[in-house]
Amino acid sequence: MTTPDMAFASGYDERQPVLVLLDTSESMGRPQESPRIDALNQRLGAWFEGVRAQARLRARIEVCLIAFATQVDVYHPKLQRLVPAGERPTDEFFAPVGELTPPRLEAGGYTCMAAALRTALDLARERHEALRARRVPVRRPFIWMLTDGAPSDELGYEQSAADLAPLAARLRAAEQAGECVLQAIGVAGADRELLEVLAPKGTAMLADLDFGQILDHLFTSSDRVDPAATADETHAEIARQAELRRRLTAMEEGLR
Amino acid sequence: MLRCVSRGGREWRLGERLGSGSEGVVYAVTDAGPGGPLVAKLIPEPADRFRPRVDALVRQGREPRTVRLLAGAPGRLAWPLERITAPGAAGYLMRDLRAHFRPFGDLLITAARQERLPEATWATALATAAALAGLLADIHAEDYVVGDLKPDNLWADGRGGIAMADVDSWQFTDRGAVFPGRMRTPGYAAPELLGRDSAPPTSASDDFVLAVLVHQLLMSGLHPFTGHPGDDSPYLSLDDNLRHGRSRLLSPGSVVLPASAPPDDVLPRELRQLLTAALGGPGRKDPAARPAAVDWARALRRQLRPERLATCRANGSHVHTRERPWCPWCDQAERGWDSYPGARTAEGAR
Ligand SMILES: [Zn+2]
Repeated sequence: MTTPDMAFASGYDERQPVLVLLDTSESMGRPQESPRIDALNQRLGAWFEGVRAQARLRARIEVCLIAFATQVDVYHPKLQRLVPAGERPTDEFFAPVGELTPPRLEAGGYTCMAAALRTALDLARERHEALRARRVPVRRPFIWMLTDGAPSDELGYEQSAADLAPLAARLRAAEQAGECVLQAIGVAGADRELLEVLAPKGTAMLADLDFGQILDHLFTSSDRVDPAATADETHAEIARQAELRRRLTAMEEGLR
Repeated sequence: MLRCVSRGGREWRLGERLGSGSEGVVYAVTDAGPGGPLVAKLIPEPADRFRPRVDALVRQGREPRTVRLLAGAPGRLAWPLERITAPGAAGYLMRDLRAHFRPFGDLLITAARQERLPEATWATALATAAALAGLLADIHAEDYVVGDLKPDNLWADGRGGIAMADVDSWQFTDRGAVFPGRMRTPGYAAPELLGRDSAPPTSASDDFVLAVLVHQLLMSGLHPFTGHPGDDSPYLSLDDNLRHGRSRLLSPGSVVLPASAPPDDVLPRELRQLLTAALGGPGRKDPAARPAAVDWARALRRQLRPERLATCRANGSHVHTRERPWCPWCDQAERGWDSYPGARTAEGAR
């Protein structure tokens, strides 16, 4: 049995969609002397440059980048700019990891994390379904969110655990249905408690790692996770890998 | 300047960081000396289980069984040569395989093969498979078990040579002490090792993964358990397909593959039979029913004989078994994908 051509990045590997949500709110413009957004841009560019040498990741991973502040935008890899999610077909937002050049992000605005996660859930489900309909062996999408803050609404009002509860329930249901796995990564200043409302077992505070190391960690640990494992097992494994990564980073710093 | 010290007190300078895995980081050694290029693998302290394992392997390196394995140049194993320490870290020195080899994955993925090993043909894949089977047979003959056999631990030279790294994850016995193999990799574990609390690896579980790797080599990277389930149940993973026996090799309707996949009759009959025995009903359920690495090595070498191979008239990079009267790679190219376009056309192809 065969279907029309669906070879990807020249391999026949299973496909792993990854949605990376990047916080670009105003706080990412701090500290003024070395804004986090500059570090993010630099590491993001370097990481996607480096991944081209990694045949295995190149053959299976497709990425969708989402930037969120007051507004939620999705990166269109062909047009090379950020656009609102509804503006283009979902499939166009995903590109093989080796063929994506990330945009230069700017910091400014509030932290509409909930809206970003709703967009990510929709895009993940649509992409998953579209690939399944084309009978591509696709693993459930990963949603990785990087933030340095706490969720707010479009007017900048901070959201409480109660405000986030309906979204949290939707996220849990999606994870249990095997639609996705959400991993929330907090860097300097992130509100751990609220992140844990959204991702109770999938929150990691990685303030001591740079953005490149965080991406390395997420991609390598995703590679080692048994794709048939439950979301909880996946979170446990990623947490274990994060601990190993932290020890490795500490070791390397000690060597210098 | 990074430095580390080996047990004898010798100091080594470390240079370029070559990569990191889940548990360690590998650096080039900049003052390796006349013995040839070395690299150092370092893992963070506490490394209480790692140190005795490395010491045992270093000691084993001088025993006759291991000396036999390590003979020849260039060697086929990045054996731990000396244990080293650095601030907050334990590790070992090993040969730098990059001097003669490239990552094995470069042979499996068409784009990587075109970029980095453009001369490689199906005969290269066959020769590499034979070398891998030969190496594994030698490893098993000396009572070692690899345990976590997978592309990431393998290196290929693009001319049929093979080498293996990550020897510290092997399973072996030293002076009566058993050092168990613990690592598992999705897509590269025998069925009896799937799931939690599974049995320790055996030479038979290595033999299962060998069959997976032989399939991938001979099928231009195609994993034997890849594909969307033919009954339209959701795809979960390679291991899930394995559990359900979904494989084009074993049951053509059980999976849907891209039209660009290599034709299934790329495989000579003898090798198809071995693969079916290893990965199909008997081999999947009963580890003892699997062909051993030594059987694989013999069969693969037979298929490598010049009289068993044919070269396509249309494209000199298309090499195939003589059993197939016409070129399988031309058939594949007609469907829009050529696994072996050759060095000349590599520029234009994606
Ligand atoms: Zn041909």
